Amino acid sequence: MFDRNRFISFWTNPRLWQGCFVIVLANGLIVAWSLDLRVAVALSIAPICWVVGKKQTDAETRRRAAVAQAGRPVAEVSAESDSESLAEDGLMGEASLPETMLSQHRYALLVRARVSETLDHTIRDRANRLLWDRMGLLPEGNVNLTTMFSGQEQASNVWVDPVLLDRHCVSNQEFFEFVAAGGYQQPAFWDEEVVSGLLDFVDTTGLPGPRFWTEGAYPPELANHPVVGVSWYEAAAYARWIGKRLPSDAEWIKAGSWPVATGNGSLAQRKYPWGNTMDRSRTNLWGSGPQTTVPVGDYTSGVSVGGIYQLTGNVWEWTSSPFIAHPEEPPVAAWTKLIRSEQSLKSIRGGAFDTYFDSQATCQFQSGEHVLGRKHNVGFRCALSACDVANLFGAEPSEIPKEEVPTAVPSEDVELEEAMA
Amino acid sequence: MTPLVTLPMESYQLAKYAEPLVCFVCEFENNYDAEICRCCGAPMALTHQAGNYKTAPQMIAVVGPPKSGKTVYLGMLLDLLARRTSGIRALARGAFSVTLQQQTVESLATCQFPEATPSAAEHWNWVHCQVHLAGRQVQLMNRRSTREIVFVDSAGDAQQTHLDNEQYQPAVSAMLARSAAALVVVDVTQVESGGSDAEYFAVKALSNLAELPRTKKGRTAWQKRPVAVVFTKADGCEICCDDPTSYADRHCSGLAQFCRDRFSKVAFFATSVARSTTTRYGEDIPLRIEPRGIVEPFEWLTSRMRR
Repeated sequence: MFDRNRFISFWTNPRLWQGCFVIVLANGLIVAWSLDLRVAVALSIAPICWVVGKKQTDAETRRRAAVAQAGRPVAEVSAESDSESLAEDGLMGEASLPETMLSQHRYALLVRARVSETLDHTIRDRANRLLWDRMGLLPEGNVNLTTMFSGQEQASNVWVDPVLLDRHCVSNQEFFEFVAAGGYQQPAFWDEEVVSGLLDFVDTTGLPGPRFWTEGAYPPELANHPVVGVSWYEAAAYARWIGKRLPSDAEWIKAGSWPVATGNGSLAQRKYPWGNTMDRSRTNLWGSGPQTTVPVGDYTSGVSVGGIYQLTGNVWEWTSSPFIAHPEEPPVAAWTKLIRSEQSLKSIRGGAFDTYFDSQATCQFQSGEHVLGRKHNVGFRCALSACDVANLFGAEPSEIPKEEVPTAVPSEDVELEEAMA
Repeated sequence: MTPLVTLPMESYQLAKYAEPLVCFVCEFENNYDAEICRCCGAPMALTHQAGNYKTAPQMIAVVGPPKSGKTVYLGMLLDLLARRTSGIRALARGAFSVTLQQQTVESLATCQFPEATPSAAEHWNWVHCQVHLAGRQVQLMNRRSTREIVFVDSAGDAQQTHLDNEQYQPAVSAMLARSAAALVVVDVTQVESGGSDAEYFAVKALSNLAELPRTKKGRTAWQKRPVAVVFTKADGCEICCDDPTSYADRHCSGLAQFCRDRFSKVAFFATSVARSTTTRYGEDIPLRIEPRGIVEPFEWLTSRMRR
C-alpha cells in the first residue's frame, strides 16, 4: 500500500540522488557514444528503475520483519498509518482514530480532559487502564537534589507536583511506531531550533531513525530493549507525539529516591531505587550484566517503590533539565560557572550498562550529554503531569488501580490484552 | 637506666652492603638500603622483587605527550585487570604498585581527572604486577600462564625533554631501552581539532625507539618488539572507536605509515575512560566513567611479547 511519508523520505534521501547522478552520468557517456536518443533514454531509465525497485523491496522487507517481530500484522500498521493520515485530513470518522492511538501507545492523548469527555466509554476505560498499567504515580512533595561535583556535595529542596512516570524506558518497538508514523517528517513535534537539523537524525543507512537502526527498523532481537542512539530532541519529539513530556530532574530523582518526610522536617531518601545499599543483582551496570542493554522489563527486583523499572542501570535517561540545574549557588561556584557556560548539555540520570562506579549510578548522580549526542547508552522514559489527566482519582472503580500509589509489578502485556478483549 | 641488650653480631650481613645493588631499570649501582635509584628514581623495591623470580619482569613503556591521558589509561587498566575474575587479570606486587590505581580511581569517582604526573622521576608511579593470561591465550601461544610486568607512569614533560635532548632525562632513556614493548598514546581530541602535534610526538618517540641500539646481546631489536598505538579520549569520536586502524590511515597517515615501515608488530586501538566535556576555558571535565577498549591493547601486547 502507498505510504506517503515513506515515499517522501525515500525521494529526499541524498544517497539515492548520489547514486542516480552517477548512473545518469555513465549513461550520458553512452549516449554521447551511440548518438541514438531512443537507446540512450532506455539505457538511462533502466538502471534507475532497477535501483529504485531494489531499494524499495529491501526497505519493505526489513519493515515487515520489524513489524512482525513487534507482534502485529503488517497490514494493521499500514492501515494505521493510512487511517491516521486520513484522520488528520478529516476524511475518516472519529471512531477509528482513538483505536489507532491506543495501539500506538498514545493513550496519554486520550485521557486529557477535553478529549476524554468526547470519547466512548469503552475507549476511555481502555485508555485509563493503559495509563495505570504503563505509568506509575509519584505523589506531590519535596525532594532533595544533591549534586556532587568536584568532590563536594550540595543539596537543595525542590517541590514536585504529582506526576505520572513511565514504568519502563521507551523500547525500540515503541519508538518504531513513531518512525513508521512519519514522526521525523512532521515539524510540529520538533523543537523549532532543530528542524533544520532533522536530516542529520538518520540511521546507519541514511533513513530517519535512531542512530543504530538499519533501513528504518531496529534489529529484531532488540525489540524490547530500550531505544538508544537518540538525541535529546528525538526523545522530546517522541514524547510530544505520544502526548507526554520528558521528566524533569526533580521528578526523576523523586521516582528513584522516594523521599519520605521525617518528623524534624528533613527528608529520608533512598540512594538506589531499592534501598541504600548497592546490590548488583538488581541492576545492569558494568560488571553485573551482559555489558549491553537488556529488555526494559528485566531486573524486576530493582523496581522502585512507585513501581518504576530500571531507574538505575541499563541506559542513562534524558531529562528535560539542563546539566547542573541545581543547586543554585553551590560552593564549587567556579566549576559550576564553567559548566553552566555549556548551555547545550542536558541532564541525564541513572547510569547505564557500562557505568563503572556505583557512586555514578545513584539516584542523585547527575551527568550531562550534548543535546545532539546520539550515544549507545542513552535512552529515555516519558512523564505526564497528573493535572493533565482528566479525573485522575475520580474514575469509575474499574478504571482505577487497587492502590492509589501503585507498588505492585505491572501486569504483563498478555494479561492486558486479555483484559481488554 | 638503659637495659643491656645482647645482640649476636651477624657480620655476614655486612657483606651485602659491600655489594652494590644494580637498578632493575637503568642498571645503575646503588647502595643496598637505597629506597629509590639515584639515577632513574625507580623504587628499589622493584629491584628487590625482580631478584626473587627466575625470569626478570618485562617492562612496557607508555609513551605520550603531556595531558594525553597516560595516567588515566594506566590507572583504569590496572583497576580493570584487578577487578576481573576471568580472562586476563593482574595482581599488584608491592604497595607502591597500587598507588597509581588508587589515585586514579579516587579522582575519577569524584568526577575529576588525576593531577598531572610530576616531571621529577622520583615522583613517577611505578607498577609491578603479576599478570594471569587468559586460558585461550596460553593455549594458543603455548606459554606460561603468568607473567611479571612492570609499568611506569612517567611525565609527558620528561618524555618531551628526552626527545629534545636524550642526555637530560636518564630515567626515560633507561625506561625505553629496558622495555619489551611500547604503548604509544595519541590524544584523539588533538587530532580531531586539526592539530598535528600529537601525531608528530608519536612519530618522534617511535623514531627514537627504532634507533635505540641493542643494550645487551640477545635482546630483541626494537623493530621486532610489539608497539600498540592507542588513541585515547575516543569517547567523542565514534569513527575512531569503530575502526581505529582506518582512523589512523585517514587522520594520522604519517604515523601509520611510519609504524608499518619500521616495526613488524604494530596495532592500532581506540580507548576511552570517561565521557568528558571541554569548557570554553579549555578545562576537561569527566561527566561519567565508561571504560571502553582499555584492556585490548594490553592483551595484544602481552600476547606478542617474547619471553
